Amino acid sequence: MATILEAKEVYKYFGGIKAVDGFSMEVENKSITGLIGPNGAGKTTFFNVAAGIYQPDRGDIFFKGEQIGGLRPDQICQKGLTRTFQIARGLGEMTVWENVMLAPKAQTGESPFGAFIFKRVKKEEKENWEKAAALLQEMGLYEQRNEYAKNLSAGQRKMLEITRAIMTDPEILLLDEPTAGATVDETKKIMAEIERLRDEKGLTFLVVEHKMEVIMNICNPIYVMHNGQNLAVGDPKDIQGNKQVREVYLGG
Amino acid sequence: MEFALTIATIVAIYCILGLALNLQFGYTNLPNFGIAGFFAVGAYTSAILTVPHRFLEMEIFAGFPGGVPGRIEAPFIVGILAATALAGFIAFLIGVPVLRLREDYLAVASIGVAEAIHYIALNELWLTIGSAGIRLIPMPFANRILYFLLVLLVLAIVFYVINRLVRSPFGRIWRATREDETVTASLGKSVFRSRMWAWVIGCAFMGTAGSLWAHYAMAIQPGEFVPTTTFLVWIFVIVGGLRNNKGVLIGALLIIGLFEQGTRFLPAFGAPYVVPALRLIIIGVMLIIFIRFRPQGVIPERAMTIEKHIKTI
Amino acid sequence: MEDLLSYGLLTFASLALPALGLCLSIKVVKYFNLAYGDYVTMGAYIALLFNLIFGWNIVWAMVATIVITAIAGAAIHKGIFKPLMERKVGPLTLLVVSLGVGFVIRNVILIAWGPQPYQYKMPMARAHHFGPFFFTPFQIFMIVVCLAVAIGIFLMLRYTQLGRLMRATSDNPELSEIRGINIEKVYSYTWLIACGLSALGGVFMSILGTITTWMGIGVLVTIFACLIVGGIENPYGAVLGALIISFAMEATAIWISPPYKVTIAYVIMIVILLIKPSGIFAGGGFKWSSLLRLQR
Repeated sequence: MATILEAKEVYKYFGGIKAVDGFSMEVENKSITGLIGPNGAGKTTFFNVAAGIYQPDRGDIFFKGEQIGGLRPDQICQKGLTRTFQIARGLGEMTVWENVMLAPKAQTGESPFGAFIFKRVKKEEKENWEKAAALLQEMGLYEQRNEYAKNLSAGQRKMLEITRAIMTDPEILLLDEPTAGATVDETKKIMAEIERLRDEKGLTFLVVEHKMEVIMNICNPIYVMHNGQNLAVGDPKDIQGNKQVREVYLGG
Repeated sequence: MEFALTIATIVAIYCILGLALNLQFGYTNLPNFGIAGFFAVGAYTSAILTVPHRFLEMEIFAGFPGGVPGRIEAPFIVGILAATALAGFIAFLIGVPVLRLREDYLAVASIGVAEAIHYIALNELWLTIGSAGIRLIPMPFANRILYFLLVLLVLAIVFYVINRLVRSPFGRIWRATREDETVTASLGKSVFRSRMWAWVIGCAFMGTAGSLWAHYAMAIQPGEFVPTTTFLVWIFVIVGGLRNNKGVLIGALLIIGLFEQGTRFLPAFGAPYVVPALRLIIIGVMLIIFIRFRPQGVIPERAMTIEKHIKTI
Repeated sequence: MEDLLSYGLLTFASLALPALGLCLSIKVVKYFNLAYGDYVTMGAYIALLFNLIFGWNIVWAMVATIVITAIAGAAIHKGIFKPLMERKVGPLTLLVVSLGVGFVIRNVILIAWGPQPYQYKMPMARAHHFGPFFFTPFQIFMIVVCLAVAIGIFLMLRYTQLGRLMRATSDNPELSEIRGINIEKVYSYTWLIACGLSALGGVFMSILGTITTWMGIGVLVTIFACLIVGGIENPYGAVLGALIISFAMEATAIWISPPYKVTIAYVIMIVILLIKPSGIFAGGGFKWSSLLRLQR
């Protein structure tokens, strides 16, 4: 299988804090790759570097063989890499439908002049909404389509964020704790949804997660990060049997 | 009747300023405290381009060496378009450094812009005649009723354009930027581009309003383009309802029409500066009270359902 | 050249303290008060009241002014901004409120004093040469006071308990509150200091020029330029920024045209924003992100 995302010795320091300290990883196409590690291991910082929110101090990040380290977040998203956030960041004062309809790329109405090409804008809005409505229905958010995002529950906001990310039509999705704050049912739903999207649409996922049942059930391979560095990599069984990983998690 | 027309015209011009500010602050979170500056750019551009040669002759007669005003004699339509374009262009130039600032610093920077423009109007005599200002600016149709209708027409156009933009996918990016720019950028939208457009379009419309004002008052002075103008726009946008264009119109009617202009006909007392100052004090207190107790304004932002959106977009 | 040095230093003496005050308020209390320029005006007029109406000596008038303005500024914070901050409104809302506060102050002063410019009653004094400088004794007093107060503030920030609390609150308000610091008290003290400095600056400015009700806006823009040059939340930078801006302004007044003094401060600010947005004296603890919107 081909590699879609590759990080080579990525460094990101904040003052004296070595958030990401020479981390490398490869994400294979159509895989659900897991990334775990204790709190403060640098997972979120790595996501931020990969998505362009921070610039790496050193190291390369290749997306489909193309260097993306140092690009702006919007440029990286346009290339096909979308991320979600650890604490669901709904655009609170916008409705659910506005949240998801924001995401599609290259809309005609996205420029001040394009907004006045009435027929095309109307047609695109209809098409995008059909797509969005189907997704919302699968996520169980369709009923809430006219609600403000701030009125959703934590789990619903997570779902909304994933829906919105999918609407950008990405090739790889970076999910930062997709089930944080979600109920048991919602967690199951999100897991099923991730697998379905991989199987049906051929999406690739890189998932940071704390809930072991999520990671161990759907992710393969799993990367373990500790103090900004690679600690281990392998399939769920390897990781569960790995002594170092246990020490890091149990020994603090 | 005469003063009703006066008030109506002034309110309509302020409405344009309010809509422009709402676009910038209400929808995109750009606090523009330099409204008076862009208003002045529009007014002066239009005045300089359209004022008749007769004005220059009078100035030369009065001992002024002469300057640009009165040499071009362009028609009104050129004046208003140039006013809009120049205000937008200046906004663009200033926007490149200033839009990188955090919002509260942007606010102060925009005050500085207005101050700088004020100083230029006051001191570049060849261009603006200085503190005496430009007179004899022609009013289109030379008829106050027809001119009022013209102002209404421009207001309607501005209202339509801003509403359309806000509702379009482009406007969604504006509002997303307001909510969370990191998320917006992570969804592939350029935050800087979206903010720049809001800044330029809003400032350009402020220039339009300036042009309308110059041709209505027929005489302009630097002293009119002071922070008080900016302040009045802010207060009625906040009272009327930030993020709601209809609320802005109602706010303008209440604050500018009823209070600021309407009370001009009440008996005055004290020195000539006392009543205007009292008016501003009351408006200032009102602003503080509104933000404390009704921050959403008279008419708050309303969400549109997707069904209605698809039907009407 | 002699003019530039002398006037530059005097302008610096009047700008440095308000710049430092605004810097402290932004650094510690974390909202931008657009009325700060009007606090400066307020100081100038309160001193005018004591000096012109009560016939006090300008130095005693200045002392009384500092006390009154400081209390007034802290009271405005407590009465208007604190209740809003407790409701967790954003910094922009506070900014808009401060605009209203500024207008109220300005127009109250206008009603009380009228639009005409004023000057303090001061004995005429002869200027003397001091090396390359040319000063009256009182002007020397101003410069000495300015430097002494600025150094006093720096020492206070560094070595006193209050200074430590202010820095802690500035770095992390939430954590400070958890650690048991009464941050509301720190805010009040910060405003007392900031407004005392604004009053001193207002008096100095008015001694050098005239007092008008609308002076606050120009002052606000100018000291904001000083802060940008020095790196917004850096107190040392604020004073150094004031030094640069003062000399640039006086150079403009001498060689270009006096009305463009404020404009040049603004132009310098724009240039700094374009080439080094973190300010030229930024270093150490300064965070880029505190000034710029995106982290990159």
